[in-house]
Amino acid sequence: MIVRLNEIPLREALHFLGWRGTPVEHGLLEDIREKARRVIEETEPRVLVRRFSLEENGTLCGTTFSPKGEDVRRMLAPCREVYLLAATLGAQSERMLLREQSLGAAGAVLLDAVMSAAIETVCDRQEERLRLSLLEEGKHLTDRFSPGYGDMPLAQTNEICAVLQAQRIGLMVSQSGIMIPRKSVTAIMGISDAPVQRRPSGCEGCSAKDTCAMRRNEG
Amino acid sequence: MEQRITLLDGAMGTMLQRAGLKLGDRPETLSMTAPDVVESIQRRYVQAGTRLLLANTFCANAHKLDGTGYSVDEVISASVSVARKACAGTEARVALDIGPIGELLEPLGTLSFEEAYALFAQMIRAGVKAGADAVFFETFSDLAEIRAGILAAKECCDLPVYASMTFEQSGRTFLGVRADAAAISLSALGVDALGVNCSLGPKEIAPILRDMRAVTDLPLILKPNAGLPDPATGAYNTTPQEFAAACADMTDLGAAYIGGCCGTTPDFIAALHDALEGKAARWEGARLSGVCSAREVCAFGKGVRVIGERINPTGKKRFQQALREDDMNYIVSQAIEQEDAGAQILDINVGLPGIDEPEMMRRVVTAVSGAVSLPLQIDSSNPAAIEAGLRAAPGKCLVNSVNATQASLDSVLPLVRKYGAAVVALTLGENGLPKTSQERFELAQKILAETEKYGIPRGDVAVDCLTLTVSAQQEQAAATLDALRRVRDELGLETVLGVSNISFGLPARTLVTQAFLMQAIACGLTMPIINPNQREMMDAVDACRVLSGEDASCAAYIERHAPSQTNGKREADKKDAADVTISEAISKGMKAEAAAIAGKMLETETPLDLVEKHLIPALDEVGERYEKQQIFLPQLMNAAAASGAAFDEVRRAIEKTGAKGEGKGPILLATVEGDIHDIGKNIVRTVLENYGFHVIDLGRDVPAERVVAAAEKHGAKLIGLSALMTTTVPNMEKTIAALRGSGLSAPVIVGGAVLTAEYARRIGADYYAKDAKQAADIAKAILG
Repeated sequence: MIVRLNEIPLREALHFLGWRGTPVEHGLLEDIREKARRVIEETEPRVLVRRFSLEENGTLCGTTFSPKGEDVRRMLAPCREVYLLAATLGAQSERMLLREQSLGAAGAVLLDAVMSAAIETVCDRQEERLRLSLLEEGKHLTDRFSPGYGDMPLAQTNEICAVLQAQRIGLMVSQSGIMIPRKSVTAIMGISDAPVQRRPSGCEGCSAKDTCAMRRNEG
Repeated sequence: MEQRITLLDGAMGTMLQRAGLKLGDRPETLSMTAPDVVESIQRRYVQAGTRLLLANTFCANAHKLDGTGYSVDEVISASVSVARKACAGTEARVALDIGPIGELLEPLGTLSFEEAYALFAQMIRAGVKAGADAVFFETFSDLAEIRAGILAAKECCDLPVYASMTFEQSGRTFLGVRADAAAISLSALGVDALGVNCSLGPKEIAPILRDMRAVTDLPLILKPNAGLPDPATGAYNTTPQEFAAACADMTDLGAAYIGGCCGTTPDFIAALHDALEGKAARWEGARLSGVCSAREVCAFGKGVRVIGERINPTGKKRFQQALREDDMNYIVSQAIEQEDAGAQILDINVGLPGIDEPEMMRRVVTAVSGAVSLPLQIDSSNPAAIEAGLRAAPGKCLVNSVNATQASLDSVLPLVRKYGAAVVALTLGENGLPKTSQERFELAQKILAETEKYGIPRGDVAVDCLTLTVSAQQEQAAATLDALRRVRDELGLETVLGVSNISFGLPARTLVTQAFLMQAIACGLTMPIINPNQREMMDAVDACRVLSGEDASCAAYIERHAPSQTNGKREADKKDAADVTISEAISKGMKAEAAAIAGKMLETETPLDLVEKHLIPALDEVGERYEKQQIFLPQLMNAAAASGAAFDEVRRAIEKTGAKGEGKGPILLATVEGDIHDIGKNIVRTVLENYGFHVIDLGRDVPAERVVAAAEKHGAKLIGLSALMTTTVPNMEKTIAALRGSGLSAPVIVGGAVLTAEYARRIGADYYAKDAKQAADIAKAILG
């Protein structure tokens, strides 16, 4: 359940900081690198993954959970099984953010971005592992889809956490529906017998692509 | 010590899932919908030997039951009665089972300690009404949360209270709580037994139980999983017999309440029953004297323990301002600084006229506990504030202080007893300040006798022999030192002394304070209250630790004082301030240089000119480059920080002329209730401050009422609200309505990832800012 993070891609952290390819001075890069070192050293990312069969009506077998929204339904159309995933950087990430914040917003902004990159990396690695292990079964993995993407309601975060009993990795959902620690992810991935059409990587497949401040320029 | 072993039950969730419970459903509601299934599982446990059966109430709290259509009372009443039926015909008792609420408490999360308390109290009252025989807390990983539950149990019923937490192989919970700190803190609250459940198998739990045994005299609870789960299949790897044998080995650690957690079944309990036949729990144990937080233990009697004194408004303007403006960031930064400087306990004093001291104590203790690991000393003369601090602090605190007057003894010692705290005893009696060492000694004896009446362990009493100012009462320094020696030699107690008062009114104060500190340590002072940021003080402590042998092989001393390689380099890194202009220094984010240049410019320019002709244009230029995407966020922030350093120089210059150095405003900022995503708000704060505005930052998860109250109190000219999530934006609308409802007309500016200008208008905001630059532009337009 505890996963080891060896590296946090700096480009990903820069992306979360709104970087668009302008020159970055050495000192700033060093600051980001230093934060990344601390995140790798001090946090203990945790992941929960569980495989479920899908019932005819789209409910996950043995659970009360049924993904809502056209987008996720479309993604899961060719699938008879899914993986549910919950991942978190853990309570220490919140504590680090609290500390850094009280010492100044400039450092906290960097740390926040590095941690966003870190949890993405944790999920990407996990996804890749699942994708490879499915190849041995001759099966294929769809994209990773989280509540809040497209028309899947954010409130389903809570349901995924309940099914996975995500409190076992210290991931909780507050009364107002936000995940704490903030640097956490829940997601669903479909398992298909035939290769699946994946979303264009980057921003093209996102319904917020026209308004999002984080939109990448590439492509 | 010896006690008969009580067999607990095994897993409930595992059994219910086998019986068809769906994941995502609330197992507790089965007591209503399928009572027979629950009863038959529980009966099998009782038949296997369970003598304290946990009712099916683990998550029967109002938050988790929300939406199920059942009330807490209904579910608990049904669950206790099902358990009762399962016990029928045996001597088995029924415990109300209480697990975590499922939300993270403040300051990392949004659930307040008192809300958690209320949720637990509701369960406990329902459990008492339903006829439960005991209250059993289990699977907690947050010390603050389980403390809220235990206090609720202690204050709402007379039933026995059992408390168990869940640890990882590292010996900590995933919130970082140490096993020994948990045992110290839970013992302090007066539970009947404490221990470990879930997460690990019996073999992995053994070392954790040993850590607990080392610091408590209470019987221990042992409820392991059926070994460790196979990562691929989720199946557990231990047989009932192996499990039982491993558990039986821990009876000589004092494991007296033994059962199973995830993966265990009635077969495991039956095996335990066989293995424990005729065995009793036997143990040697004593409570540790000392204090702890959730993450650090500070044992008394092992040498010098430094108490950091900086969280105290006395004589500190900046700190007073922080208290008046609710500026937790500043207060927490003071805590971090002291922790980094080597303090081992932090004194928390927030007494200031016009401040609601109990409420402020609660807030500061909560905020500080989230950011630093150190145990706390709750410092107040107001018993209500002391109690607020003791409730909020996760751990065992030191109370500063009780004195020898009857009024003080009667009001403070009951609190020390109730919360199981350690206490500082001030040698101050009905006749005021003592004159001689003998008087001090007698007052110490009197307090000690009183603490013994309350059953407060001797090892948790620390005597303060009072430091008086040597320039005013010169003979008193010797009296203090002599009393210290006698308290150590004749009473064997810990000692505390606020050291710096000694040199008040003298030149070169540090010299006198340092000499007094060293003499006092030599006379037996164990807990000096000092400013750990003052290098001379910590140097003296380091040296004393070497001389007393506390610092074995002088290792810590050598590490701290060996010549450093980096100092020279850091100096070389500093650029010559003359080479850059103020505008360059700001745009490149060079803080020190910006301050130095501003200082120099102020010799020839007025503060106003410096701001208007140099700082604001420089910031504007940076803002423009940000807007054109020539620079990105961190560069904007660094520039803001550099101009902030220059502004500090300006403020200092203005204050020198006697005028108030406060900027325009105030502007009130808050992240709305329910939301903890405050990074955007913090960016706005920094940028506004560095444009010279006076910003009052209420923090995150701020209820509408607090925004309204603060806006009224400070006469806010502009109010900024942030929210990140679609789920919390409605609270922004609520806050604006509350502001308007109370007749406040200050314009409201809103921001946040999911907001748009259109949406901002719809919820009644006056302005929408897409980023910090826009927020600053709006503030400039409104406030000039």
